Amino acid sequence: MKFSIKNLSHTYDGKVEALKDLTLELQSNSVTALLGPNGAGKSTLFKVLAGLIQPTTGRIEIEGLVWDRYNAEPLSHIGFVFQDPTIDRMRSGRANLTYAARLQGLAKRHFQSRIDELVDAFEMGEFVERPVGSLSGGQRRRLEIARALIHRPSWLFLDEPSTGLDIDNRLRLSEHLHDLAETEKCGVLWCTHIPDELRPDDNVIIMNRGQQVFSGSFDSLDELMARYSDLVSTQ
Amino acid sequence: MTKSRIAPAIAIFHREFDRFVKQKARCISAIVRPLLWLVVFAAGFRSVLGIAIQEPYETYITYDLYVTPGLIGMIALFNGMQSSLSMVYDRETGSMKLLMTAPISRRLLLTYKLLATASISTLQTYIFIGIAILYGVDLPWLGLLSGLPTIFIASYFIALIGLILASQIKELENFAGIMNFVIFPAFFLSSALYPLWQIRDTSEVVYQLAVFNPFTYVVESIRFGIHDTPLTHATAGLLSASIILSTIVHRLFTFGQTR
Repeated sequence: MKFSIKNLSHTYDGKVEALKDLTLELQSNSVTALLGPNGAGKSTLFKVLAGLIQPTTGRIEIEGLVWDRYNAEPLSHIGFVFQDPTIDRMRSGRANLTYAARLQGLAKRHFQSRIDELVDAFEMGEFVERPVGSLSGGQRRRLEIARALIHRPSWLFLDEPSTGLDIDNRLRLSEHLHDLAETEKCGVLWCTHIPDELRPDDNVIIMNRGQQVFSGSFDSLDELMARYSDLVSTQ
Repeated sequence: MTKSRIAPAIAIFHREFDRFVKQKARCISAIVRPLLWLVVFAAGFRSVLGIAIQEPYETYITYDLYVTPGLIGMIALFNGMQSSLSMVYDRETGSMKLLMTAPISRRLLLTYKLLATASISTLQTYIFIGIAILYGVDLPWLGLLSGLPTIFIASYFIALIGLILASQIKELENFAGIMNFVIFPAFFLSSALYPLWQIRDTSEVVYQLAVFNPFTYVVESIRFGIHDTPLTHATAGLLSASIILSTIVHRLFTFGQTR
């Protein structure tokens, strides 16, 4: 499955240029981390990918299909986890998963076994029947990631999913995400500003001021960290 | 996995009904509010006011029978606005993002949402009508059937207006203010409580405001509907306006930006 972003630009109110002629290609079945300091354009890119804002110019293609406001079909290949919680606190974890499955167009006979599978995979058996409002931050995150995977997407996009989690939960989340790329056979795009969460074989894209300034593997750590530190110190 | 076209509609309907049932205060007040008007307000005026013969009534009627269509409209008005309030709440809490990233067209999403809201409003109005009949309001039995399409169309139209408001309002607090500026003027400056000719006798300005108030057409459409005349100019007007407003709502949610 091929995912590419071509010449993407976005300007807020015709003044603030958040994305500048961004071109990226994501690799399937692997983790790609999107790093960058605050204001780099990561969240704007994420919103454009989710269709929450329209890019000023450029296009997004999933396996040759153009994803824009007139064609929502390519969204069935993506699962999203947003930075802020987007889960219905009044309903149980299972009701939230069922709601997401139905929105994806899944019939009951298909999604029931899938929900059970995800409840096991994410160890949610203890709390999936409870109202989401009573769950901890880490439990809610697991539920949100499980929800994003309900329709077996080819791509999982996460916008700073470790925000607000303690170190233990952050490490568990990082492990989970890396396992997902293998078990679910999906490409993971992970917006973060914490490089500690990454593994040496992860792909890394560094953004600054709306542009891609580095793309490569996390192996080339020295060069990468030097550039990243430079960027953060100049903010 | 095979995709079901009906599954997203079930998701939205189920969530709307689930939310309505769980919000017990909303559920109860939806029925108690118009009942208070019927039992307290209309009862007081029943012995004072008789309504002269006018369409669709064939004889002099009591005030409680006159005011019932207005109270049915009031239920649809409150539910339509509360449903759009929940949309602003969804946007604030982020739940809207899940809806917007579903692989179905926004036109379809909005239509499902509007149909769900109109269905809840219609259900509420029929509970109210049942209680009103038990209370002694002399509604024609056939009107219960002929009123269904008009009540549903009126509820859909109000839900559309609520959705337009919701698309323009970014903060939950602002929406509460707007609701007060919409619901109460819409209700009082209409034919819900008094016939238009009677309003004109008192004030030409208020009469003109009532004539231009869309809620007047909602009330009149329901009035004729539950008196066995579902097809009127008012209903046709609401239907045409709903088609135009649907296009506007679709554009607002497709071309507008969703946080």
